[in-house]
Amino acid sequence: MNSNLEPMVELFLFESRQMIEQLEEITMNAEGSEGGFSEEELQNLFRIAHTIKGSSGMMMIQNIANLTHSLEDIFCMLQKNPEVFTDYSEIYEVIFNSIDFISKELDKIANNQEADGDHSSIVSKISVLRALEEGESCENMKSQGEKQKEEPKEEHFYIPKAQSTGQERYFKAHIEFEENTEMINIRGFTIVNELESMSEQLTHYPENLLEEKAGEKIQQEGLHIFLSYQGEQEDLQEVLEKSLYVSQVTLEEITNPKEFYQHFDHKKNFQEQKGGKEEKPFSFGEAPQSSAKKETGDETVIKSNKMISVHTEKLDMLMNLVGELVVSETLVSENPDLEGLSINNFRKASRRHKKIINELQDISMSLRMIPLTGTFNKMKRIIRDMSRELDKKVDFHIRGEETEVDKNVVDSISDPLMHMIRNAADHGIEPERERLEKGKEGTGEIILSAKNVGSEVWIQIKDDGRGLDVEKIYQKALDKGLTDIPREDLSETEIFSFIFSPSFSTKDSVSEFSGRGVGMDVVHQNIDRVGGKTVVESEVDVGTTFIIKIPLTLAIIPGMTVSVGDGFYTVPIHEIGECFRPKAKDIIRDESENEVILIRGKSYPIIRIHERFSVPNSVTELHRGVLVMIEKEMNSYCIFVDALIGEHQVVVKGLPQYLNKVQGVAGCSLLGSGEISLILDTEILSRAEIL
Amino acid sequence: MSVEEKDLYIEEDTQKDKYLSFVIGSEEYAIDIKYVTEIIGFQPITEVPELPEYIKGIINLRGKIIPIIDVRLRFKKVFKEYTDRTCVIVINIDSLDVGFIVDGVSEVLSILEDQIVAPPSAETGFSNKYIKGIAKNRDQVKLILDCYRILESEDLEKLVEV
Repeated sequence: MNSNLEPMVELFLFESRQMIEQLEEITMNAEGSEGGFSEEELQNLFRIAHTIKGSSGMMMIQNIANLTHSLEDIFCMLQKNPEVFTDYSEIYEVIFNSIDFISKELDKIANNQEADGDHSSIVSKISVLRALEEGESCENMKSQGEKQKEEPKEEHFYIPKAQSTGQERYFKAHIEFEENTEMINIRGFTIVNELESMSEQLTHYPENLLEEKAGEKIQQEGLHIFLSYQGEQEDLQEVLEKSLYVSQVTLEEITNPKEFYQHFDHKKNFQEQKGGKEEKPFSFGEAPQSSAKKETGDETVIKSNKMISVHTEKLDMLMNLVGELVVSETLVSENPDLEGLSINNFRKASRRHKKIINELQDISMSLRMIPLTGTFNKMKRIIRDMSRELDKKVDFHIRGEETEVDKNVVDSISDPLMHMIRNAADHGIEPERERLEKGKEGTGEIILSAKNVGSEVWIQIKDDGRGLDVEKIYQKALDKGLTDIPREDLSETEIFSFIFSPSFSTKDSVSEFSGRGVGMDVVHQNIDRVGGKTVVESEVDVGTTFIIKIPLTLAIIPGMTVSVGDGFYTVPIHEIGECFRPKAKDIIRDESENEVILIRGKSYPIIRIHERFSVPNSVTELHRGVLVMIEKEMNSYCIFVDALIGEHQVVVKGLPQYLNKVQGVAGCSLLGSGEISLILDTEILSRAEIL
Repeated sequence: MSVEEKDLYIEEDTQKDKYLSFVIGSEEYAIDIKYVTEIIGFQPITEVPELPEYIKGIINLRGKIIPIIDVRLRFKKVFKEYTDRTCVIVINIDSLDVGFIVDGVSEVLSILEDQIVAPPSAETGFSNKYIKGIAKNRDQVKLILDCYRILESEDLEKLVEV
């Protein structure tokens, strides 16, 4: 997220994005199930719409506020009369449109632009829907008139916090303000706000104090407040009288609780509808001031109370410090000064110390981990839109979405994943008729799943579509000059990997969603950047499976540390094929003195690190050093180093900005001894060699 | 005046006219104390390939990786073996941390503004680009270092080419 935004704006964006994600999820669920929204879902939807309205209103983002206001109308309507619509599809459509619109506007705000999108078309759609409802709605609803009809979405400051305790006393207050008081409604609002903190239950009339109309009403009739209070009547009186601009206060105790509760009538009705949920009363809305903070939906209360949002920068700082702590711990416990000393108590203490630090490291690592749920749910939406657009029936299943991955990794796989899902739906799944002809079920299936495998996460995208045609791909690769190797010498996997080459698309026509031929190579690049790999398995007419293997985290990688001269270098373990000491006879020199080694019938170029980086004092005879094979899909090669030091979990650090342009070094990491080892950028190393 | 500005003002005030002086060869140099974070003894440097000779590499300063510049080499003087006297002055400019290797650090001293004269301009053939002033302090002359100039690399290379 853009860090130079105002904290307030940032918070607003963050929360609104979460809200619309929820909105989307609920709607997706409802669409998937028969019979539309459940009672509870409607409440949630309403609450979300209301919260967004409140906070965007506060941020002066009018179009979002207006749009969510109309959404509220719809949800409210559905709550009252769920049978109004027999066909919910239009409602879903409107909700999805609204979601898209809001996220677009949020993006604009995030980029410091005006949120200037035109929401009128969606709002007018909504009013069409509403008009429809009005025509069909039952008579008594109509007769209640406009004011009452909208009642439930008005602001009620009904804040039930706990069960009544018995000593509760009920009061009715009538407050009049001095004449010519400006913004009389806001004055009233201030008083109500103050009372809320003292009272268990409170309602007032006029209800919506933030509307200007309320001001006029108060002017004429005064402000009526009904509240429960446990203390003395005098205290209340005093609070009210002390309030600014108040001219007259009448405070009466209501002895009959029934009389008191009738002011909460519409609330009670609603709770009864919900069915036996009285113990957990729920409030419709809150003052916009507090709406962003105070969630009131039953479930979300629990969730949001247990979550706090932290800036990733802070997490990075924490990670750095913990990494440091790990290193400095080693410096203490393995200090050379301690050698040969018999210091049992010290050793005991330092073992304990180490254990705690390791635990701390684990926890601080886990802070950065977030589940894939959000990313996966986005895919649901894509499939939904596509199956409509392309008129294909697709069953979409998600598995293992709770798998957690580093935040950075999640961010960088979101796009590739989206692309591959689109591919699967567009290229993979056949149209219904074609499927039936092939003897498959008419509805295609796409499964998106994730699981932990060692220190990797495997994300699998599996479709039961037409599959990849090996011969067709090979032919295409040949035509485009991507290969000149005879067909017999290539394995299927190798041929499939051609689809990751730039400008390779076997799809003949271009559709809105995919097939421009710029896709898969970008996918591949993105995944490669986070140290991931993509594997393709496919069979014609059975389906295609893409497996994305990505490391759990970017911050700590398993690496092989090697030495060259006096320095240390680290190669990410997942790139190493094997390490071995070469025999002089295996090494061939070509005409330009490039060294090549033959391993199992394949030739690999040798890159001598000491030459490449001009490191003095290193081993120069190949048979006395070690070759490390770097495996790449296209060009594997070997690097020549002095010796292997060992395998470690290394904390990846960037090089200082000042040195940014070093070729072949991806970053650095600290060894247990406090020394620095340079992490080799295997991609650049080989490229420079080709040049 | 905002709180931040005020803080800055106070900080600048206490550091005003304070300089850290150090030795390279027979010359005494001085650097504005507001840039200096700390002074550390010489420690092994990790070499980084493909860098100009005067950037010796990087060191690990309590988890922060900072580049190290040998000021001696930057001034195109001959390399001198590092000894116990060799120090690394860690400076921070525009949130960039860099270490300067110098032959030795002398003291912190006050140099008033009116004690500093501008170096001779380049037109007179005075070619040292890294000095922004010459100060006469007691009976010694100190050359005041321009930290920015030391860090700029392209500029220098262009000059050398010319």
